[in-house]
Amino acid sequence: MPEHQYAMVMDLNKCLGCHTCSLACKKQWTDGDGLDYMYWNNVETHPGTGYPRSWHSIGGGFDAQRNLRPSPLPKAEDYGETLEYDYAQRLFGGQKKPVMPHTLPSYMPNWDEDIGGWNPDNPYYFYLPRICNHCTHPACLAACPRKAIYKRQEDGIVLVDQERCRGYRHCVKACPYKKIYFDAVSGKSVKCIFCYPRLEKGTVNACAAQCPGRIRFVGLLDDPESPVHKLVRVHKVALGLLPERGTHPNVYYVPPFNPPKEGAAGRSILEDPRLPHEYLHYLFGARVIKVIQRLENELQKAQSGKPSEVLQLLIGRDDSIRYRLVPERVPQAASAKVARAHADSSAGGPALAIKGTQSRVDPDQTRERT
Amino acid sequence: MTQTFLHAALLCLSLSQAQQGQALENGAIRIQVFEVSDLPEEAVPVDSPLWRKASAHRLHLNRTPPLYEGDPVDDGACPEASVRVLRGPGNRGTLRIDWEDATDDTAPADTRYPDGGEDHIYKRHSGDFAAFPDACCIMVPAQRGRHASYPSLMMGEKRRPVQLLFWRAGHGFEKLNAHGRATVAKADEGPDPSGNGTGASLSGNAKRRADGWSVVMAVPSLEPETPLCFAIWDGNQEQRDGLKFFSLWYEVE
Repeated sequence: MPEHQYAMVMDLNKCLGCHTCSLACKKQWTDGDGLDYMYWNNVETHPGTGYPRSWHSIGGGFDAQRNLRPSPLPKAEDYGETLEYDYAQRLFGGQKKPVMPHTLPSYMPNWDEDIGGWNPDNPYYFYLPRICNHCTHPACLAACPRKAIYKRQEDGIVLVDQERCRGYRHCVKACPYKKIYFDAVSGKSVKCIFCYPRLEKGTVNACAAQCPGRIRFVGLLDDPESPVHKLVRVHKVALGLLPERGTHPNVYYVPPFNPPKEGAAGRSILEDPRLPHEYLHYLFGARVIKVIQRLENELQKAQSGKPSEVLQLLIGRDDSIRYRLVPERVPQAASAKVARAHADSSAGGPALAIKGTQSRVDPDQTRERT
Repeated sequence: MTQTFLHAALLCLSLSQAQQGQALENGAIRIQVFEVSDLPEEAVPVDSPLWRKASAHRLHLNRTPPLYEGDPVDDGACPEASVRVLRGPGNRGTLRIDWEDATDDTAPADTRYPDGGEDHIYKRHSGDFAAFPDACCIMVPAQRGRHASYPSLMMGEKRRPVQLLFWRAGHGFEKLNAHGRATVAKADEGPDPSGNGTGASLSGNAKRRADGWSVVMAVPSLEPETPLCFAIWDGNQEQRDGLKFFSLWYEVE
């Protein structure tokens, strides 16, 4: 087990669906060749198919006996094609034709944005931003026959060793969240790195820093002062996605409760909810109902003028409330040993060459064998 | 007429002889080699008439078991495959592998725009990143020549490293080294215990036929009695890594 675990909480009651986080991540990490179709952070409408298409229903993760249950490999069309537009002819070519994509898409990320469901006569949907969950028991790590995926000992961030990976994509099939991607140009698997180079400098993840809705909370799960510890462990108002897949995700969500149905004003959230509990149960597991009850209690406390630490936390006005990065407690990679859950390589030094960033390799650093 | 009959008879004779190699005491099957005094250093083109002089040896392939739930199980079907060997001065070798594969699974890494992509956000778009390319590989012990025992079929062992000559459709050729399972690495990234050829460059050429592939690879230092084994991947079946068709050890004469 790692010494510490970085975690993130996202309050789904505050997400605007603006996708600023997705673009922040894309400009930071995935604007290079081979990374065009990837959104390490994406935002999708639920109920909906998601990105890649139907990721939440095709499989992945572990079964009750802790056996890996990989899903079929999503096809390229399930991710959607990256469109290019012929701006040059319109802006500089003197032509008056409207700008068009180079191909007519049949599916894209967010193809079903804002469609949601009906319950009955009452539309409902919510936005679900997703990143790699940096799971405690990553299925991707378990699936890799080359031990190319590892979990950092100092902070639990899960990374792909670009030197060891040979692009077999067992990890892509194993991940129940489909948050690891294949870069066909480099021939390696890549994924969200939890912005570890930023965290090591005391700067929060790009997706969190850019979020205008202030929905994200970042900190160490085991740090009693961190907002994630308070929301997840103390107040217990945040849950991981698809808990039955057995990977123990470390990205948590405060479940959404939509405005009451037409004619239901004044009734409890749990009486005839606009957002069906069956769907929340499907995404977050059986505990979601208790969590919603707790949230409603806190809301009523605040509405009746009583103090509510939970609500003050969730409002999260300042960075100091939402983020608690403690680089002094999590030694930087340059001086820390990078441990691998299973190590058999005799090569010295980790190779954390991430495309688009400077290499973090310290040639004097060695791997710990476990 | 007589000449045509003779030619046909000789062809039948060579094919029937090539079907079964000579079995050795250690269980390996010996592959005949056609010696060429002026064999070029680069791999002989796949359509060269030289190949007609080398016997085609049928490869007996096996399928690896599934790794995870959902991987295809062994239904007993393996592609028909054969190998021809030419050897020249200094034991320079060139092999041609032919195998059946109904689908052309060439999966290039990227697609480029005709204008070079300068006006586009991404200069290179991902190719079909969910596809797996057809591939083949020749495994040779790092130490050439006669062997008392062969390296493990699972990519060799620490004391018996191997060299892998690897081709993938749409990706070209590369030379790899290995000394056991999960130790495969590009030849220019680690020690080359064989000392056979510098760097990762590997001379070869490939041609897609109507019903399969023909791939030629230059094998540096193909001394007599060097063991060889072969592997083929069918991209259409999502084969890669340990999911493949493989042979046991053969030995060149």
